[in-house]
Amino acid sequence: MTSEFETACALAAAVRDGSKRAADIIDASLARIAERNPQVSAFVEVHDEDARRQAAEIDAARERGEDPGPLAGVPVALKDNYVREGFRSTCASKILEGFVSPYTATAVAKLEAAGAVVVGRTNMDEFAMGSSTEHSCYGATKNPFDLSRSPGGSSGGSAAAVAARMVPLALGSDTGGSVRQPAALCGIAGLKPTYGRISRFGLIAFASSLDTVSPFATDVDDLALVLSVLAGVDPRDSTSMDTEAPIASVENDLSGTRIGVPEEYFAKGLDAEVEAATRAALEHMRERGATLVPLSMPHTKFAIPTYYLIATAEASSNLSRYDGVRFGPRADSADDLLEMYVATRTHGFGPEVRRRILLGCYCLRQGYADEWYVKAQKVRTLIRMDFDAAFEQCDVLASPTSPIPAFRLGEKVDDPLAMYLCDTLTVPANLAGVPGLSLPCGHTASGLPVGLQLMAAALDETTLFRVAGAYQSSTRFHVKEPAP
Amino acid sequence: MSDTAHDGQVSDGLDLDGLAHLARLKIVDPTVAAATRDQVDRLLGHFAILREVDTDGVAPSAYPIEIQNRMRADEPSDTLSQDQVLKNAPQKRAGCFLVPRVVDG
Repeated sequence: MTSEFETACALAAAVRDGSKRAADIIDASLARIAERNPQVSAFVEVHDEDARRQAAEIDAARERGEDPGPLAGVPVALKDNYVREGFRSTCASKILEGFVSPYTATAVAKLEAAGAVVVGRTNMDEFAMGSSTEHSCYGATKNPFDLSRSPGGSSGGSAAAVAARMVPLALGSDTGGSVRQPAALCGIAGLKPTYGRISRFGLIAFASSLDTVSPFATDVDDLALVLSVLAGVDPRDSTSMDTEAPIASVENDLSGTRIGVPEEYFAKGLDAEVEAATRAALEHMRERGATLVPLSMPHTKFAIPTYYLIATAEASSNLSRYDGVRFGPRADSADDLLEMYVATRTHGFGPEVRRRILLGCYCLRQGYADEWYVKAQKVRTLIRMDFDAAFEQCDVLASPTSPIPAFRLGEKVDDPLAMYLCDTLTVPANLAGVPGLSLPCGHTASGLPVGLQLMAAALDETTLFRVAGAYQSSTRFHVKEPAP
Repeated sequence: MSDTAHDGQVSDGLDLDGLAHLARLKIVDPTVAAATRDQVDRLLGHFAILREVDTDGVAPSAYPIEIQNRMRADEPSDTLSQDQVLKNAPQKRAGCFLVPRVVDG
């Protein structure tokens, strides 16, 4: 099975030209999930029957001569924070236990309209708050490259599902690195598009000015294909933008491309093997015609506090809707409305979510907001200006995606600050709204994957795909699969 | 509670119960309360590095992109039915979400 893995591009092309049936592809994906998921715990629910029914409909449509779509028959996993009508979504939280959505997220509707088949929902850190996929009511997901280690997070279930070749495509969400970091730790590709590129309607909100619908795949071509399906304006998300989707252009020549290398992204705390793999990737691109441009982004060291102040403030507001009135289980011990709210939320949220809500309330409370929240918004402006200045000197920025390779399960779960520092190199792109992509660029001596992060100016995913495609087409790191 | 955000100590004397009330949460176990206070305190201590940044004259960014109000024609369109909206309610009655009594009498 492992050697038979095919990308979304290859599978969709085969269904479209009639050389493969969607039903067979879905059966193979479901069989692979049955084989690998018991060890990896990537999926928390598998939609066998629905997936098989949809695959049969795709095959029937093609036989009638209809266009089955650009993702025809491609199995897709959804992080547990997307809603689809008639399916459960819980954000890996007890507070949404039993919730069945009455509507479908725009991103999911677009995937299905393009012929993709949702095969299940995947594990995550509760409400996407975490970097390890351990803060989940379902338990932890394991890294397919080493089952004693974390796949990263918060979209660790989707990352592990793609890394273990259970599906070629999966949706995660990237608020501060929650797709790029697990992509790096699991040896696959992950894209955080420009903020506003894809509608967030139906992605359960964590931090609305940072949340980004973000896909995983095994290679850059698949990321470009899925972005072309997902991009576009949506009347139900006022932050979505009406722009042409970028097209991937895979070339092997980087002549004239200026790659910015921000010194702050190679600072103290960077794992030596991660640094070595990243610098080797830079050298590889230089040998293929790129010019490396050393530069400085001086506000980078303020990105973690800025991010966590803004994200927790927005989360404390967004999560106020979970009060036991309209959905989710209610604590029925209380006979007073306020007591009911408190008992429902205290029982329903896990410790990390409670901690972040408290932090958010702290920095938004009367008399404190200017000092913490507004201050963070101002520093956010300075971080955006760092990116503007950098992109006057270069076409893309390159750095490690994560300062460390996959860490052991349990190693950081009781130390919030250590966990937050995992996001040091990914949160700046969210604060600035620019696109970022992680792709495999090497392995440690013990075989753990290392990810290269590329970032481009807002709406310039085309350059991101061009540079990433050129790197990928002359390396083999992205085809290395975990041992079965 | 002391005016913690305005003195040298970041959150010395953090009023966890007051904060929990704002968040509609309750922390009853004293061990958990102490651990939470320590963690929040440590995080705020780290976040206080932002005080070093000169932000005079810098406008705050609420969003990473320029957001414009988007207008649409004021026309009726399909939306969720009452049944669909109430489907996930833990308690409902007569087409409404049912909650514990709010007003006496």
